[in-house]
Amino acid sequence: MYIANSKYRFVFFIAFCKRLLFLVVVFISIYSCKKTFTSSQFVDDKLVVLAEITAGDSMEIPIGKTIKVGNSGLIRFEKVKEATVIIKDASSRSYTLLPNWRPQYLANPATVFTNRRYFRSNTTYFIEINHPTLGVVKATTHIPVTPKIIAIDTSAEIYQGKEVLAATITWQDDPTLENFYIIEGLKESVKLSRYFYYTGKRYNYDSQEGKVLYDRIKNIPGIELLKDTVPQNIFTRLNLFTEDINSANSSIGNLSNPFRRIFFTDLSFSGQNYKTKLYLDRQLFIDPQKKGRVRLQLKSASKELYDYLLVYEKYKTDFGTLPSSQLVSPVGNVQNGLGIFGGSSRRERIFYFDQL
Amino acid sequence: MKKPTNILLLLITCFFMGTIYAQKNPIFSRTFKPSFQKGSVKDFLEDINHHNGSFIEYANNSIEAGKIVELKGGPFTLGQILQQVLKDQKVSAIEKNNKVVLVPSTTTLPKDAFVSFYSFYGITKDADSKESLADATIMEVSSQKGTLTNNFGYFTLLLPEGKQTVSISYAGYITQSIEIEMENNSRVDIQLLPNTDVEEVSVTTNASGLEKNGENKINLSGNPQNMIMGESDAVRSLYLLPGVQNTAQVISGMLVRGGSPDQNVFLLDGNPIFNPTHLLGTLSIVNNTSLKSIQFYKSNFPARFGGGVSSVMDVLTKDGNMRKWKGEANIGLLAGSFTLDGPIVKDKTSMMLSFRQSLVNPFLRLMKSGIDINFYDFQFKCTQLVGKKDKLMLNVYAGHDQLYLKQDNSNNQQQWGNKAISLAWNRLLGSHAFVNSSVGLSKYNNIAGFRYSLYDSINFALQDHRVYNTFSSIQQLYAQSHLELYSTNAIKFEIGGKVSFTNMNPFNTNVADDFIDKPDDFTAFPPISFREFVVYYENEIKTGSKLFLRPGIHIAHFQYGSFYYTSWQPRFFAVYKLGAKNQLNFSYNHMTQYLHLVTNPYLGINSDAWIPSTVVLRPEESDMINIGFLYKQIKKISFGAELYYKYLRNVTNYVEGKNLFLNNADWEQNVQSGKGWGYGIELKGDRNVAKWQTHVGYTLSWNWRKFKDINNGQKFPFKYDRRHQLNLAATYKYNRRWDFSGLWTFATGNVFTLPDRIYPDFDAARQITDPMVPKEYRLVYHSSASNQFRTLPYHRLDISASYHQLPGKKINSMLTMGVYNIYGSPSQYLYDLEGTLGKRSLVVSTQYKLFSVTPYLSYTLSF
Repeated sequence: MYIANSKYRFVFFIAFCKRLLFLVVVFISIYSCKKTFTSSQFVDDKLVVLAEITAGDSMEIPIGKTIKVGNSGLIRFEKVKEATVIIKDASSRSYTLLPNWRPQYLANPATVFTNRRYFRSNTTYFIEINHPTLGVVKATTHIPVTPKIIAIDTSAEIYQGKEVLAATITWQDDPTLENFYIIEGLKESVKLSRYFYYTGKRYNYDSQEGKVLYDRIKNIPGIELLKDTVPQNIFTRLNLFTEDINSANSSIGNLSNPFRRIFFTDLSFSGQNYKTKLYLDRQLFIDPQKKGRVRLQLKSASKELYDYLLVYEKYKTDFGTLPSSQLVSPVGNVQNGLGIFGGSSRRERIFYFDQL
Repeated sequence: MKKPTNILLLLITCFFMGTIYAQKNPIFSRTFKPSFQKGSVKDFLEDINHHNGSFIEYANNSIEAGKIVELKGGPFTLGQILQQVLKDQKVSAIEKNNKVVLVPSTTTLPKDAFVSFYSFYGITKDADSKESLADATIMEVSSQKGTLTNNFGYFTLLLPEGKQTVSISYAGYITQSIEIEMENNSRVDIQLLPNTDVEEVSVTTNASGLEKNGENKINLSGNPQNMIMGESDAVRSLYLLPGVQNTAQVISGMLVRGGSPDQNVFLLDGNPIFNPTHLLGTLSIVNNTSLKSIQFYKSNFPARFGGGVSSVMDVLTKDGNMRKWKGEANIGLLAGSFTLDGPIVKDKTSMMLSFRQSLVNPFLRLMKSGIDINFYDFQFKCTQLVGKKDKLMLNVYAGHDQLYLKQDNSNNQQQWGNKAISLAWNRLLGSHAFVNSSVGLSKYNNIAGFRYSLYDSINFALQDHRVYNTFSSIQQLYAQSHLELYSTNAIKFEIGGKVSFTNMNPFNTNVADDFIDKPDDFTAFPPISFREFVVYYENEIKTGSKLFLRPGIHIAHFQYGSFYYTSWQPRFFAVYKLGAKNQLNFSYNHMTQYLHLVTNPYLGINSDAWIPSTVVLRPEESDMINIGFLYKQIKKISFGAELYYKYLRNVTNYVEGKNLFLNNADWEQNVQSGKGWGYGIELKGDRNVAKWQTHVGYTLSWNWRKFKDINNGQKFPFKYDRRHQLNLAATYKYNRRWDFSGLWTFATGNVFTLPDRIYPDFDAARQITDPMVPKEYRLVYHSSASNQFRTLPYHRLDISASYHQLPGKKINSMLTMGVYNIYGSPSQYLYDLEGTLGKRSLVVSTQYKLFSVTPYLSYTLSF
């Protein structure tokens, strides 16, 4: 349409602008009403991998499932029964892990998938989990080289009014790699196993039949009751204290607080020896109900494991103190799932305080 | 770096060209009586040469020599005659050897080629109080060319020689016309008489009915929507504007275009105020009765402003009445206040004293709100006129808030306050220039305490209470100067600079048995200080009657320790009038902010700390473009629309999981920076017909943030992202005594983060038990995305009625009664997840109402 008179052309232009503006506003308003945010009722369950794979340990992968929040349901974790779990290493060797229903894992909120093979250091591992309804979950990690400990000196001390085991650990950093270190203290529950050999065969004294046999033959020369400690694969967390400002713990909380783990990157000591002093709370060292041994561990961790556990440390400190909306959840490396598949290799010192 | 320097040189060159253009050969100003009133162009030129000795040289074929011209008006100067005789001739005039040579040109002779112009300048004041009037319109009647007075009432207008009529108008005052014989630059101080029978309008504009430069000048009184529970607060008018939000969730109250509160600059008589609110952002710190003007900028920032990437609020207070003592007192539900101003030495020295004290505590106790609030503010201003050209102003401000919040198991106590002092000097530098200089000091303290419980680590029995106290402060010492130069009526220059030294103590802490009130009792953290040097340059250019341009540049150099940063901040604003009622505008602004405000999420409300930019924590920068349209029918109807897009760099956020106050040694590591962007459309309409005054404001906006370590590096909605915001206000003037008003506001709910999944605890899955942690806590909450949920919308209705005593008596009064939040809508929603292992998982919602259904009564006296 052509309008000859310039005055009318102008009026037409203004009217056109107003109409155009109105249409733009209506369009944008409609578009803006589109719901772009998800609600928890539409959230799918996901598989959760909660694995720290450590060089020298047999293959054990805890796998769990998420629960939707806010649906008034009970918070009770279901076991994962139908998953196929395969681990491959960099040489394409493949290992199938099967769910382990032994009693020691019954209380575990996840299903522990195991294989008798051992993880090796300086090796990259891939995990693939197939679940008929929750899909395929994948992750990759690298188990670093085992850290080189120079010395561990220990002494009994009083720290913050508590009886502690003070430990000064010195280790050497590898200058060619970016390293992440974690120090952890655990008490491992052990069971005393008594046995004896008779006619070249081993008998368990702790079984009723074995005890009867032993009582009958114990006076025969050469019959000797032997003892051994058997790890139960059940651990108790030992709190650690540090005053080391180079530790990453200084960035997540007050250093006077106890920590579950102590974290270091090699940023400030790359390629050098590093010495740090820490304190283990002795409160749980001796427990007649839960006899065991104390394991003080220095681990070299993959970056993804280090990052996950650092945020997890803060999360556990804040849980119960802060509103859940302000808790920061750890983020791992699991594709199409949650949790972490992280590698570590460790050096440790074992102490026995319980009378076994 | 080279390019901006070239731009600066070009602009300075323009200034001097403009100045030369205004000066004419003195011979044109001589009186000349022509031998005839009507004749050909050639006859007139020969007549002039006959009396002035071949003064004008020309070739016959270069002009229409035979064209008949009849002179109008008189008596004439030579310049005026030449201007009329050569009107519409395609020639230009070149002065050479004291002669004028007319040479052919492709364009017609300029309208002011031979006419001398002189400056008509002075100060515009209120005739009663001698208070200077900002933004009054000064207009030459015949040409309709005009100007506006600056913040101190100064104006200058170039007028052609001869007798001229000038009109001076200002909202609420009787328009005055002055006839003046322009023979030289003339200073005339204009005194306007208040018109007591003028209807108030909420937004004033220049005389043409169209906004000159897009900013809104906020009305200071008479708008019922400014009233909050009986306390009049002009700053609340801003909340009616689209793009401006108020939320009780943040202490500093105002959110502009999705920006955080620290991105707003609040200037009180040029002095920066770091937290300009009382009552958790409900009320501004400035007593309404002491205010003179408020300018608010959110889309086009003049080059003189910097330091905030979202908005600038420039608040000026009254100088004080130079003639007689006047006062105003108000008492309402929230506070009682008074302002007294008058002459110390008549027409030479004045003072203004203002004080306000909160009175709301008895009401809060009655409501069993669990909140105790105390605040006061005090302001003193002394103005001294020194001769005819100089004015000195001493400003003192002190304000303080104390808040005590008691909840089920914890208590918060907070105290914050601003103190500011400044000395300003205005000097009128003749007919073309005005300078305003000031030195000042502004200080802000904030003490926040959080009482928490200590439990035994074995049996979880309550052992003791502790109070985590934090103290942060910031103080700024500055000197600044602002020069306004008027080259022609079409070109204005603004040049200035500022030097500031800022010192802050952001992270002082003390864990004690009780709340701590004194800053000296805190563990001293080494103070952080930085310097900033600012220069700026700006032009206002009018090209013809349709186009207005305002290019400018703001250069800010920042030094913190060994970290140096210089930001070049170009600003550009253009208005194009489509006709008498319509105009389009466009603006582009680059803004830089060197101060970051971080609020600790672990200590409840108002535990905020100002920190400077560093080599790690880079300065916050924004680029914003706006396109706007305005339709305005004077005093009756107006409609405005603005589209904007804002891109932000280096916006700050706490590194999740870190506590700034606990780990202040590496505070830079505890704050992370990312990018953000926002866009939207803002619509507003006003209708002022008969007894009804209505306003509607609507905003549709999106605001996004992106940080490397949050939400897996994916973009997420900013915490102040609100999709829709609607304000509807109406006032009905029943008669001269009674008016009734209502305000309804609606805003989309805020976004928030809440876990959406739970999975088993990492240690528990690895067969590790921690006897120090309850079994029920062995789970991990997981949030798929940041800010993925939204609260319910906010909406509130306020109504009021006012009874005005008719003017004319010595003492005037006004009684206002109303109900705030008439249907008791919550001002804040909080959602949390309640659940432990073995128990049910529930999302719980809490609604907070700082003020629920609140009837109020307020009484104001002025004398």
